[in-house]
Amino acid sequence: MELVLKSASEETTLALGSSLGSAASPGDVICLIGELGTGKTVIVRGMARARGHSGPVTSPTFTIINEYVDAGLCHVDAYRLDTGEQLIGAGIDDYLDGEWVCAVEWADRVRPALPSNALSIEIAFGEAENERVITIREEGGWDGRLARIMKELMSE
Amino acid sequence: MSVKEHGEGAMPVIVAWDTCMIRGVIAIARGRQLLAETYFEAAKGHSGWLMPEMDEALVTARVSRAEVTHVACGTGPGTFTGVKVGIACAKAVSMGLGVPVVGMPTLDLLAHAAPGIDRDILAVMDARRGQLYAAAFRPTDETLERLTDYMCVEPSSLCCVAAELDIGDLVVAGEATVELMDLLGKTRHVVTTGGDYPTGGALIKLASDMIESGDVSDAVSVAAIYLKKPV
Repeated sequence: MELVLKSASEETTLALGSSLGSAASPGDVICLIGELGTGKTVIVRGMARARGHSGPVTSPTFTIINEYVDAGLCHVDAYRLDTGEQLIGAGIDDYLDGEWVCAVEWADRVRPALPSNALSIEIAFGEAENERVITIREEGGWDGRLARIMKELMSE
Repeated sequence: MSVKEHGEGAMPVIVAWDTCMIRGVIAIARGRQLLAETYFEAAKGHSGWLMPEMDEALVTARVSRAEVTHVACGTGPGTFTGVKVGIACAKAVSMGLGVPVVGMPTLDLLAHAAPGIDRDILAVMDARRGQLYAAAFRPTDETLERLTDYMCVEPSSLCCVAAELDIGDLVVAGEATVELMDLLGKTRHVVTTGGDYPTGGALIKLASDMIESGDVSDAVSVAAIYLKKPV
């Protein structure tokens, strides 16, 4: 299943992240793909807020992996990595044991290290200044939960 | 009369832990007598609780920090964060209290957690991605002799290793998978210990053995066992 959304503002993108954060369960992996400045971190921030984390949410560009223990959320930034092996070397396996929700920015750079069953979110710049085109795709099946997330988004 | 077991030193007072698997353990002992042991879920946020848990265990054991003569820790292999936090805390306590560190390989701890066994022991841990950390041990009079290197291998390779070493009937300690038991069981009698994780008793037994044989380090030289090569 694939869902294409248009977000007109950062607030809308944040709300999408929030819906994803509420819908996600431990063990879920969210792959975030998009150019610099498209709002990958905004999605993760929304996820973290919805899951009860009130502290800062910034991309761990140099530390690679941030954990927000209070939200059960693992935040990965693979911008500086080139291979899946490098992400494994940075310790990702500790977070793929079903205890954490993992949100991975630049997931396309390290895709082999992540499970095939994941939710992929691609963000592209839209035509208007703050517009983003967000494509959400179930990779390997996400147990149909995307339909429920869509329903939640439509009701907002 | 107090027993002087180590030359000028008194009976060792040991604070020990292993955080390299998903269940962690802290143990406090005077000599070989276990005074307190605490188990905890180690999957999330090791760094936040290890030191408070240690303090709590010391209170339970009625041992003051000043009495501690040795800090002992599991050195892996194991989870990425668990190995690092366990060793970093041991180094810190060693420096803070001015006591030596006893670095205990976690696979040895698993093997020592299997008590009174008279046949060879294969200690295994889940290394993720279809691999196992493993080492084989043989009981001797007093302790266990390690027969192999510490390995990170697929279950099928372990069967080859067992065959090459002419290992017969076997006890598997640690995270024995059904696949591994089936593979090993084709050519020999295999049972599990049922003990998946290091115990307080194993921590103190191995630490005491190592202290008696002088196998202790300083905070700088104690090192983790990493079997997956960094990329």
